[in-house]
Amino acid sequence: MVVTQIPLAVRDDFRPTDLLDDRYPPGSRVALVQPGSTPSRTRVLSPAFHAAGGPVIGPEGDRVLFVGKRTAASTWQIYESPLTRGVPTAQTALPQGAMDPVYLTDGRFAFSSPVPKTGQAAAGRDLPELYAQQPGDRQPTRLTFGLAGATESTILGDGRILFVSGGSPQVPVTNLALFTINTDGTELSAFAAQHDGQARIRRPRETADGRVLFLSSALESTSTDGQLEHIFTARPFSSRAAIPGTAGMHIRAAEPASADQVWVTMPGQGTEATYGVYVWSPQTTNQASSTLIFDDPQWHEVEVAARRPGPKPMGRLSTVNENMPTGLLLCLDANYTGTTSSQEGMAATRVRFLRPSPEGALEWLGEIPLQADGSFLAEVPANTLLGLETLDDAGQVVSRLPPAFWVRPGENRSCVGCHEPHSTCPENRRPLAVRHPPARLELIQQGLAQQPSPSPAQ
Amino acid sequence: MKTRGMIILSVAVVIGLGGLLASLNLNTTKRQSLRIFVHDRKQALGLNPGQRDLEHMRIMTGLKDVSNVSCRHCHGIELEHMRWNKPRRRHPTPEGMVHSPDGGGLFVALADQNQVVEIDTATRAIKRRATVPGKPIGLAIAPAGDRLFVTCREADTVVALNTARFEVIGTAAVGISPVGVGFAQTPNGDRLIVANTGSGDASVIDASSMTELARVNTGREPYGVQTSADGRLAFVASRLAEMPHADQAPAAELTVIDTVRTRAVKRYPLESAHLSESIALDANRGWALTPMVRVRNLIPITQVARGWVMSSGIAFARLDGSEVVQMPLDEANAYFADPADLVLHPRGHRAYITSGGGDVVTVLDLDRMFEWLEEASPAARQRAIHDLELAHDYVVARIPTRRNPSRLALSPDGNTLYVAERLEDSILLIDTRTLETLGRIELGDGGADDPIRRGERIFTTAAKTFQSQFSCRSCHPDGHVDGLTYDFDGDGIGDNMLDNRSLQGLAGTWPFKWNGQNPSLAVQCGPRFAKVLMRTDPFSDDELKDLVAFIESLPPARSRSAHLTELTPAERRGRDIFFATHTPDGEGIPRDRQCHHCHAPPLYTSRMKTDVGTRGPTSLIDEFDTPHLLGIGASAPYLHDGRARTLEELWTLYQTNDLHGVSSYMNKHQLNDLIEFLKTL
Repeated sequence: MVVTQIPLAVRDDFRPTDLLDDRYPPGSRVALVQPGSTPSRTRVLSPAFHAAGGPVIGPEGDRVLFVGKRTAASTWQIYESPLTRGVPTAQTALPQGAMDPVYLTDGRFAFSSPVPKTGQAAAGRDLPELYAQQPGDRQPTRLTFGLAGATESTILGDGRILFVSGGSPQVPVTNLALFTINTDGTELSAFAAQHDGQARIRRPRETADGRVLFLSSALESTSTDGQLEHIFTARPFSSRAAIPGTAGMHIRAAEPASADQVWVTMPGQGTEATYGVYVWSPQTTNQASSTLIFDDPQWHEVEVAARRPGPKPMGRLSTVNENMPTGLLLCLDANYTGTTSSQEGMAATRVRFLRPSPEGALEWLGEIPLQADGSFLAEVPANTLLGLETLDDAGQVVSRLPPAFWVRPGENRSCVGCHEPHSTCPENRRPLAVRHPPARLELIQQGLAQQPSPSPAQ
Repeated sequence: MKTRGMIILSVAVVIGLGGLLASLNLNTTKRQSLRIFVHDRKQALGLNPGQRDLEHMRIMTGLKDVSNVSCRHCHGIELEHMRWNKPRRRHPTPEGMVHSPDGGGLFVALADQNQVVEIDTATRAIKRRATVPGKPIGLAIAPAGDRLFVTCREADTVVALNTARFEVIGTAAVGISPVGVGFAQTPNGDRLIVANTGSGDASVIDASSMTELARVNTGREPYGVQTSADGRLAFVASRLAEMPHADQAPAAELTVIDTVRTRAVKRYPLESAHLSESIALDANRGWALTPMVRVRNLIPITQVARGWVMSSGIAFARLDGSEVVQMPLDEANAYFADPADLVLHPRGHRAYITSGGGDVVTVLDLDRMFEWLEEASPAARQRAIHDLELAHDYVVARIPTRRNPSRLALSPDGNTLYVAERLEDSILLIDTRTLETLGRIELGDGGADDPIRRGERIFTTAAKTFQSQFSCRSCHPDGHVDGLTYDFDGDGIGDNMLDNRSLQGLAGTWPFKWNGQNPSLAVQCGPRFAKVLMRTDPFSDDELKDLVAFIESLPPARSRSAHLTELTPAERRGRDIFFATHTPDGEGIPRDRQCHHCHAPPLYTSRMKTDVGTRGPTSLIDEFDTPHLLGIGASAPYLHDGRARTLEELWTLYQTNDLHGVSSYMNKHQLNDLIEFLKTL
């Protein structure tokens, strides 16, 4: 068991400058401990670090990634350490720091960068993006392109990266939600919690019994503890719920440890009690039935890492061709919303492509007509945050998707409709758009591009 | 230095062998094989063939550039050397199962071993064995329990077994490749309804005299049969869908047959559904249920997530004929591929369905499903199959099984469910009251040491695809075709619609893929396949070897009755046309447009790419791999893009100005004769 231990007290003059300073105050460390053992058998994996935390265990159970800073003045970087013997080696050297590492199935690891500064607005620039990198390579590949943050990533059994984001940076963050991408950054998809109201989500973890556990807290909350919630992967958009009996519990981390056990970190009973690691069955509904398995009274164990239970996640061959500047976007019916479609009449007849300008405004990349069945096929710039507006004959906006998706170079991206339910399969209909070559977007004159869009017609 | 020495030695050996060839006293075949070996070694060593060789190759192939032609394109091909023609291990492989009415015995068809066995359900041991040649597969039992009826897929027969003596007491000839069979007691006597997968019809048999009364056309590849309680109706589920046009959604057919009048009385189209292999009736509520795969072949395969290629479900057909509703079996992030068999609990509250690719038995709450059906709007019912969150409302359990669960049987009291774990040679027992497993009946050792068996396990598992969405078998049932065309996105969206080719009889017919770019099956099924379709890691080398072993063990499909031993007059006339070098008027047919030039026996392919003017509206190339013709009669549609729905259309709707064989001189009788011959291959 690998834990993050933070000191019981923090110096009064300590002023955190970024998110990780707040999460891992000076003296925080990553340590290998034995469940049920005494603290004397603890092996510190981050010796001589100013602070460290956020450990994740490798798929073979022999390595651990964590974030750390060597000195108070240095930035947070990703380090890897063998579990048994050896010293940590720096894996990243990014000026703005790195955080939230996760091992991928192909031997690489992913992480988020930069580390948000303390007090930084939830929506804005310099929000963390996801990157992937070979250990020892120091040449990260960017996986996300301008979302309102991409953090807290974990790997799903089907090989996708699950992470937390606010979605579009153009929309004030009122709700953090779960998204997935493939390990090459393709197929950005909503996974869960997109329409569930305001809450901050942390540490999503897949369990062996078909759920994703995560911690949620109010947006305005400054606490790093949260309420334990779950969704069923069988119906991720309609099953989100707090786990009964966990209300009022101050859970800092939850980590599936086996098919029927979850390790959670939370404070013990009493005012003097420190955070410890408890084993807890997902079926258990109250704290009383959880069992303390490790607690060093000199430290708070605020995070715990376990080797992922169950089969090794699936791998995936990349479909990205980095030599291509564009990708394709195929929409089967831009008028399909789940209840209406182009077959009942064409509300929208054109689609406009948008991207955020460097100044934060929206640029129009171009417009193309929809086919009679509502479909379109467009060649769009790769690695660029894109949005869409569907327009009626009068040019009024029918529906709007703020910039919140991208295509990777050479990616063939597709969607069923606009704002349709996320778990909807497509109709078996050959879209008319595929009878024609992909429409190419030409950047509209800059002056036109700066014009504000009309309001949605509905 | 060592390598150089080896090369010199190899050259010497090859040259020496070439010199020795003439002096050896070998028969023609061996001499030819040795000559090819020598020639191939020459090519491998970079030695140029002689001028005479090149001239011969140019003349025989009609190509100016023969740099990619080897002797093996034409010579040394012998069907008896094909893997599918060689002996292989036979495993128990439980297929059809039926319970005796008294509950004491479970009859199981062991197709691969040509046996039907009776298992004592009390001791779980095999009590008796009967030899039933011709690949016994489907079973039905008379209500009195005195007669067991068995379809024999390779013999094109249905046989009656006396259950007391456990021996054959009668045989009836039926259509091609019979599988499903149902028993019906009608006012006119006992009837059997037999689904003939190969001939696309159902035989109605007088079960007393074992004579065929009629054949009723069904959908393509009829498979599952269920008779109504009063015996008057038989429901036949067809496995393959028909595509009316390359741009139109396919539909499979659920056929209702009047067993007394021996005619079809209702045909339900199952839109974009196929691979229905069984059917069950809920007469009280007025629905017929059949498992199905909802295919989305008209959409470019830009992704597989969200059921983009296919998903699994159950089709509910109202018995009054008014409606078909398809309901999903999959979940938003997990799929249960290849639904195979479906049985209803006698009390009607639950249904059990096997997922042959997902290795589970799914238990469904029928009460909830019917409640949903009654309350949902017509629009919601039509959209239900696309909602991946719906199944969670009515799936009670997913019970894991060993590899490839297929057929199901319920004990008469409904308390025990028997699950044939086809590729493990075992039968799993489940207590339907607790949904706990009760153990297994082991029929064999599972055959894990047999590469062909291991290969079939890989072929049929969905665990190798993203979220377990489908298996190789999902598009190639029995290794054959699904009759559909697909748009893979690797070569552009909307370009190169591709007809799904059969894997049966494929051994030795390299290269593969319609553009002929894959030199071997290992390449065909390798990383590119993983990238384009599986969207996961590719098969390991060992898995690939086993998979290829299995595919090469598949014999060609059969579209001719096993009861025909000689060519019919029409087939003989067609053979003459196929091998003709002149038209009936005596005009010479150019060598490269004679049928047998490109489709050269014994595999009926030149194993080369050819431009015969078949480029289609979505094609990006002109030259296509010359397909072999073994089993061609069963692999519609035709051409690389599946434009031709029938063989006839190749020379009528899609006639290529005599580039694809000279056919413009043929009248309709001659064309029919040619097609009759092709169906014999």
